[in-house]
Amino acid sequence: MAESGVVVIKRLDETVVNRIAAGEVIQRPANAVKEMIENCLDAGSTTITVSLKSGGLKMLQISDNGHGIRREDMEIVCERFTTSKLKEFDDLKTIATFGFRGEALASISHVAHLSITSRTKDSKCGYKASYLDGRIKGSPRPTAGNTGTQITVEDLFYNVPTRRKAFKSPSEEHQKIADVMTRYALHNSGKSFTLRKTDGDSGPSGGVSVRTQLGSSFVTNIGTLFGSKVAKEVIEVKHYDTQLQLKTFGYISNANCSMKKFVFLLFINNRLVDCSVLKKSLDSVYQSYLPKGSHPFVYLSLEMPTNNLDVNVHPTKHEVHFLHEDEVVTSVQKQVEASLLSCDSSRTFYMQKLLPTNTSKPTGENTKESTKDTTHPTKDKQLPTRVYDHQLVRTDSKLQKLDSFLLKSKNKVVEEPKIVVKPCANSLINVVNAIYFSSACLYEHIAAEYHSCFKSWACHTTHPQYLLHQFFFRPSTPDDIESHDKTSAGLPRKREIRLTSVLQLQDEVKQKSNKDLCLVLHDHTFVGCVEPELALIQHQTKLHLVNTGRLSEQLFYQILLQDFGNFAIFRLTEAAPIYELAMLGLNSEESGWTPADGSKEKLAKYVVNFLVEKAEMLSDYFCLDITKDGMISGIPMLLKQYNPPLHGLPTFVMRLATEVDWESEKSCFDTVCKEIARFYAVKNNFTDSDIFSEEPVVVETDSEWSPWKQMVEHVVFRALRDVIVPMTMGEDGTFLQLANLPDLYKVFERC
Amino acid sequence: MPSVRVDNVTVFRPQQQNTTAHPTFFQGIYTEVKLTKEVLTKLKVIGQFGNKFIACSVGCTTDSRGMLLLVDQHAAHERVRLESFISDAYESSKRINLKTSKLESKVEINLTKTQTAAVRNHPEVFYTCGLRFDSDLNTEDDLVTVNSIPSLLTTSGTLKETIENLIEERTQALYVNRGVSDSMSPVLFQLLCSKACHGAIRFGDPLALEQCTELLTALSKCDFPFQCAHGRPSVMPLLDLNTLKTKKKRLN
Repeated sequence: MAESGVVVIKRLDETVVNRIAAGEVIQRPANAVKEMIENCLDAGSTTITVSLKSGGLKMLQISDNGHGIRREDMEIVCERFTTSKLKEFDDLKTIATFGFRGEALASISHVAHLSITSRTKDSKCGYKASYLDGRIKGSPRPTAGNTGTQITVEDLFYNVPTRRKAFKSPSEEHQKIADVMTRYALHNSGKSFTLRKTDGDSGPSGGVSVRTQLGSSFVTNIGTLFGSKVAKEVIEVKHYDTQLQLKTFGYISNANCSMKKFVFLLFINNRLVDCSVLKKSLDSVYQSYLPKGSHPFVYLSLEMPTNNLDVNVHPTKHEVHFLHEDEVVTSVQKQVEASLLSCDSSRTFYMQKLLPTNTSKPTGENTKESTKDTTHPTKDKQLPTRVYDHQLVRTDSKLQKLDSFLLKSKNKVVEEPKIVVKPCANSLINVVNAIYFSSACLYEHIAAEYHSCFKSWACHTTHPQYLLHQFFFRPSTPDDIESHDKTSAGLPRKREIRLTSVLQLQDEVKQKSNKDLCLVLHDHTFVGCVEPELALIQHQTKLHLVNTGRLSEQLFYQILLQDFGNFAIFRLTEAAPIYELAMLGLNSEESGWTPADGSKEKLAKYVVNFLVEKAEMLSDYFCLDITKDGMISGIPMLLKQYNPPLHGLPTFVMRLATEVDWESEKSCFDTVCKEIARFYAVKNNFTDSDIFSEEPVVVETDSEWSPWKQMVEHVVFRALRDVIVPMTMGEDGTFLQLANLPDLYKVFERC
Repeated sequence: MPSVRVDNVTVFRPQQQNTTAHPTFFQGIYTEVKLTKEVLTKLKVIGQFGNKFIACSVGCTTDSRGMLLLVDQHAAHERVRLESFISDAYESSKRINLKTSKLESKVEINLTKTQTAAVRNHPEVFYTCGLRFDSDLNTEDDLVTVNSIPSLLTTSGTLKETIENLIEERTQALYVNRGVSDSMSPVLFQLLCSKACHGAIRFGDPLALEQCTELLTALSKCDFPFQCAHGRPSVMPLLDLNTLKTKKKRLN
C-alpha cells in the first residue's frame, strides 16, 4: 500500500466514531454543564445545583428537582440518538425544547464515568445506574432520592489524554462554568441556581460562586450576578415587532454605566447563543453615549417564530441561523437606542443627608499651613512643592467684585420696576424692602409710590403688618449727626467706654474664639446665598455651608460691644408706638401667649411702662430712642448699608421687656446686646422669595439680583471677615463642610 | 411677668461626630438619589465655587426634594457644545445624511481592494456620512478622488488621514455590521468630542451669574445632560436640604 502511494479507505470503529462525535459536543466541562442545565430546564426543574471538583474535570455533579427519568428509560438514556423531545425530522421546525438530538448524555458517557440517580414523582423510590460508552453497566439499582435527577460525571476525558492535558488550570474551567451558569441563572430568573465548589479550598463563601434565589426578579439577579452598580442603572426593553413577529425583551445598562468588557447575554428562543453581528451593532450604538474604551451590559431575550430559526448549525447549538437577520438586527438596534434616549435620569449618586460639623479643636495641620503662608512666604519658596490641579485654589479671597461698588445704583435699577407691582399683600413687602435698600436720594420718590400702593392694599387685607407703614426709615442724614455730637473738627466724637462690665464682655468674646473658623471667615470667598439664612463660602479648597442668621447675630453682638455707646442712628419718620408693637408681638404665634398670662392689653401696657423707664439707658448706650409717651423713634445703625428686618420689631419689643436681665450691670448689657443682635440678624423671612417657592426660577433672571442677596454678600459677609467666631459654632452646625476639591475631582472623574 | 417664649433663631445640631476625627467629605448619612432631566429645569444658581463648579439649588416640590447640587462647568459646557455640534452636522433634523462641503482642492486617496469594492458596491454608506467621490472610480489603481467632505471636518493638515480613517472605518462597519449601523461614524464622533472639549469653558474661568444660568438652561435641554462628551458626570447632588430643614424644625 505504501509502495503504490494509495491509501486504503477503512470503516472506522464505532467507539472511535462516538468518541470523535463526543469530543465535538463536549469540548470542555462548561459544554457538559450547559447541555445538562438545558436538560434540567426541559424537565421543568425550579432548583438546579451544580457541584464541581477541580473545575469539573475530576467531578461534576448536577442535581435538579425536575420530573425525573422513568426506570424503563434508564436503560437507553445514554445511547446515542435517544431523546424524548424529537420524534420526526419535521419537528425540528417547531422545536421549543433545548435538547433534540439525543446526543448530550451519550457523548458524556463516551468520555467520562457517568452515573445517574433519578426518581419520578409517581415512583416509590429512586434508581441509580452507571454508564459506559453509551451503555448501561448492569441494571438500575433502587436507591433513596428526592424527585428529580442527579447526574454525576467523573474523570472527564479520562480516555482522551491529549484533550485532558490541554486544560491548563481547573480554576479557568471553573470560571467558564460559572459564566454559563450566570447566564442561565439570569435568563431563568425565578428559578434557583447554585454553583458550588467542593474542593478543599472552598474559601469564605463556602465555595458558592453563583447563587440565585427562587422567585427573584431580573433586576435582583442582575444585582447578585453582575454587581449592584449595574443593577441600579439597567432599563427594561420590551417590544414586539409585528412585521418580523419578533418579541424583544431584556435589560440594558443606560448611558451612566460603563464596564471594561462588553457583557452581552443573548438568548434566542430561550437558547443561549452568540450573534456577532448583533453584538457589534449594539456596541456601536453605545459608542456615542459611553466614554471611550468602556462598554455596556446587555441582556436580551429574543423570541421569533421557530420556523425562522435554524438551531441545528452546530452540535453545541452555540450558533444559530435565523431568517431576516439584517432586519432583526436593525429592529433590535433601534429599540435599544430608543430606550437609551428615553431614560432621563442620571446615575445614582450618594447624597449627604447629614453632615459632620467642623471640629472645634484646632486641627494642627491647618493652622500650621496657614501661618506658614502668611509669616514665612520666603521660606516656602526654598521648598517648592508641586501644587496639583485638584489642590489649586483658583480664587482670591481678597478680590472684590465690581458690583460691590455699585451696590446703590444697582439697587436703583432693580427697585424701580418693583414699585409698580400690582397692589397686593406681596407688593407691600416689596415696597418696604425697596425702601430698606434705597439710597437717600431715592427715598422721597419711593415713599410717594409706597403710599399710593399701600392705600389700595389696605383695602384688600387686614393683615396685622399694616402697622409697618408708620415707621419706615429716614437714613440719618449728616445733619442728624452734626446736631448730636460734634467735635471742633466737625467730626463725630467717639466716646471712650471704660465700663468694666463692657470690657469684660469684650474680653470674653476674644477668649472664646475658634481660630480655625475665624481664619475660614477671614479668608473666605463668597459663593452665593442658598436662602437668606444659608450661604455657601469657599475657603481654600473647601466649600462650607454657613448659617448666615447665626453668624450675623454674632456679628451684631460683637459690634454692639465694640462700639458700645457710639452708634449712628436710624430715625423713624414716624415714631412707632410700643403699645401697638407689643400687641402685635403678643398676637403672633411665636410669643406663645396663653390666657393664663393675663390679658394682652394689660401686658402690653406693662411693657410700655417698663421700657419707658429704661429709656434713658437704652438711648445713651444703644442709641435706641424711646420717647416719654412710649414710642420708638430711633434705632442704632450697627452696620452701614445694612437695614434690619423690621418685621421683627414687635417680637423684639416683647423680648426686650421680658428676656433681659435688668438686675446686674454686666448681664444686663450682655442680654440687651443679644436681643438687639437677634433682632438685627439676617432672617429667612427677609423677603418673600424663599428658595422653596414652587415656581421654576431659572428663567427669573432678576431674582439673582434681589436686594437681599446683594446686602448679604456685600455688606454682611464683608463685615463677617473680622468677626470672632465663638468656640460653640464649631459644633452647632453653623459651619458645615460640604465638599473638598480633591474629593470633588474624584466624583467628577477628573485627574 | 408672663413668660414670652420666642424662638425664631434656629439651632441645628447634627449628631455629634467624633470631634478628634478630621471632618471629611463622605462622612455622615447618605441617601441614594437619581437626578432627572426635570430637576435640571428647576435649578437656581447660587454661585460659582472655586471658579470650577457652579453651586445651585432646587426647591422641594411634590415630586422632588430640595437639594444642593454642584455642576462641573467644563463638563456641562462640553455636553452642550457636543449636542449642538451633532445637530448642526446633519442636513435635517431626521439625522440621516451629514452636511457636506465641496473641497477647493480635491484629495486623492489610495484605497485597498476591500475599500474599492465597498465604494463601488455601497456608495450610499459613504454618501450618508458626507463623502462625495468623483464618479470615475479607478478600479485598476484603486484610486479615488474625494471632492466633498463632511462639513464638520476642517481642512487641516491631517485631513487626508482623517478621510482615510473614515473610509476604512465605514468599510469595516459594512463588513462587520453589514451596514446596518445608522449612528454617526466613531471617527467623526471623536472629532466632535474633542472639538466640544477644546472650546468649552475651562476650570478657572470666572462666570457671572447670568452666564451660569444660561449654561444650566442649555444643559437642561440636552439629551444626555448628566455626562460630558467623555462620559464623566457633569452634575452631582451635594446635600439634601429637606433633611436639614426637618432636623432644624425638630430641634426647635
